[in-house]
Amino acid sequence: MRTHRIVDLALACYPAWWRDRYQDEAQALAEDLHGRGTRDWGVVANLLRGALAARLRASAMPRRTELWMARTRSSVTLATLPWLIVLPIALAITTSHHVITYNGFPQASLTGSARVASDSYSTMQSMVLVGFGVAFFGWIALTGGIRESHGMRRGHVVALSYVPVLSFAAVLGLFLARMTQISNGGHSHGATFVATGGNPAAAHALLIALWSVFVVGMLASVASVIVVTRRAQLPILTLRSGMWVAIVMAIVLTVMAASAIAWGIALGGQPNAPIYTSAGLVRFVGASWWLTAAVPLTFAAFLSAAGAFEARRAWRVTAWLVDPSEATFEQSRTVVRDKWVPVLVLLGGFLVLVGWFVGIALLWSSQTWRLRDKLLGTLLWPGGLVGVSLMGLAGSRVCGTSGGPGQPTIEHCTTSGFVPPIAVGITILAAMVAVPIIVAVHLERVRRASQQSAVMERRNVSGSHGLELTSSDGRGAP
Amino acid sequence: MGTKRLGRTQDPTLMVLTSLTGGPKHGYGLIQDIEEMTGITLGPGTLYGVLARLEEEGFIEALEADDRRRPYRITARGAAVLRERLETTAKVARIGLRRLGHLGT
Repeated sequence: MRTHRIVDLALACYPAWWRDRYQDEAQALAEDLHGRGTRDWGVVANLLRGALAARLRASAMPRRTELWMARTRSSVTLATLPWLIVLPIALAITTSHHVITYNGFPQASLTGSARVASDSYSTMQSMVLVGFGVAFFGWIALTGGIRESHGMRRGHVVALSYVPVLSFAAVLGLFLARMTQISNGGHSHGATFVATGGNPAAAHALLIALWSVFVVGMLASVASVIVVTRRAQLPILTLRSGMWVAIVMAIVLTVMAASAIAWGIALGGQPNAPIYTSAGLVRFVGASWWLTAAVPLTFAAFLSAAGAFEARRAWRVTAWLVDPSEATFEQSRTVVRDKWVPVLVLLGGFLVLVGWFVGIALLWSSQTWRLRDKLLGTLLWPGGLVGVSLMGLAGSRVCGTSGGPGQPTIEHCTTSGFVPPIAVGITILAAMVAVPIIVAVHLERVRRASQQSAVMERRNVSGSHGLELTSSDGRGAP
Repeated sequence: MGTKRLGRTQDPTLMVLTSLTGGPKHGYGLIQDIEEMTGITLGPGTLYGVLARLEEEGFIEALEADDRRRPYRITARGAAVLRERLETTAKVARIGLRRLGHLGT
């Protein structure tokens, strides 16, 4: 009986559509295998592996609209919830710096690892803001979709969908209240620091309240988003918006995780070391726990990317099931979008970097390119041609002259960072500029080859079954 | 003898379809038949993963269940695809064996 219970537990790990169809048979088979002396743990392990495959790939999930819609919703949830979960960490780390202004600080003092640290930190801060923007857009799309849907307890679902926004409003209110209680500076009186203005005790209490509400609100938001996405039968257009939110959120988290890693490495083994910028002295209070932040951010980025990939696939199948002609139209639009990818990846950075992000989003959401092409397009170089100028390879060399009438003119040069000999510098620069161009040309060649093979396939396959024996990923549908 | 280094040469999908060419079988019957054919024992998770995929593709179909044990049979479409695959495999096998003969191994 104990064996049956373990097998039942393993079978319970399968998705509902699989259990409805195969649970009884699989149970009977497990009993037959048990009867002939097959090791139960081997059977259970094999069932668990099958359950994982059924959940991750859904390769044999029946092509029923409601099932694929639910899968799209859960994939979008998987891609977006990691952002909500790591948000406290991201906020803590991106607000953990002090800038001490220092008049007359040399302007060209930001070089080498200090510059990388500063740029990475700024990128993390920007990504937190972009993440808020994407989440807000997703929330607007979700609530709009709920209002258009039917056949459920809409009032409850709408109320739940407001939990994240209300939590955010509460946190913002506490933040503003705290700002009114922060002191405006102070002076030392012996060993005691006397604050000027505000109420430090109240400010501290409000800070504790702020973080408490933030963490509780975040947990409540996660729970409400899960419930909403499970219950709400969202329209196809909302699912498409959700799919895009998932893709952009995955990119935001990936950039954030990469920035956190770059920031920690650039700070080196000098936790809490100040770095110098043109604005003054910057001290990262949270630098000593960058690794603690980088690990969950990286994990969240992987999870989000997996969700975004699956959201894209599930949405394509859903669109095909809802309306095959619409799916064909969508495919033709994908072909048009793909044309822009090499251009945006190379030159999109000139559009305030936004163009590059759009290009990367299109690159990763397309099925034209393989994983290695996507990695090449993203990493060589981030920002495309603009990225080359942001890398800070070359330092600066500023020269001026001094001397007066009757005195020899003396040239003074100040060098900061690594300034190679001019010939070497030009060669390195040319090579760095060439890399994104070569990558863009490669992406364009892959796109054209893919387009040509798709045309050939349509000509050859029309009339035949067009299915492979081991076809397993559901991509045959659209 | 080191055949694992060649990678996964035994495709469970192929085994299941080949087994079903001998007539309809339920899960346990398939496992026994495949064991006799290849010496490989498929686990229930692997078997039902393959059966679900083949059924969704229309290569096999489920028959009326006897108690909880439901037999499956290969469809005409499944048979056509299997034939195509086996002919390719047989052709590769023939050429490979002939060339090995030339090598004298």
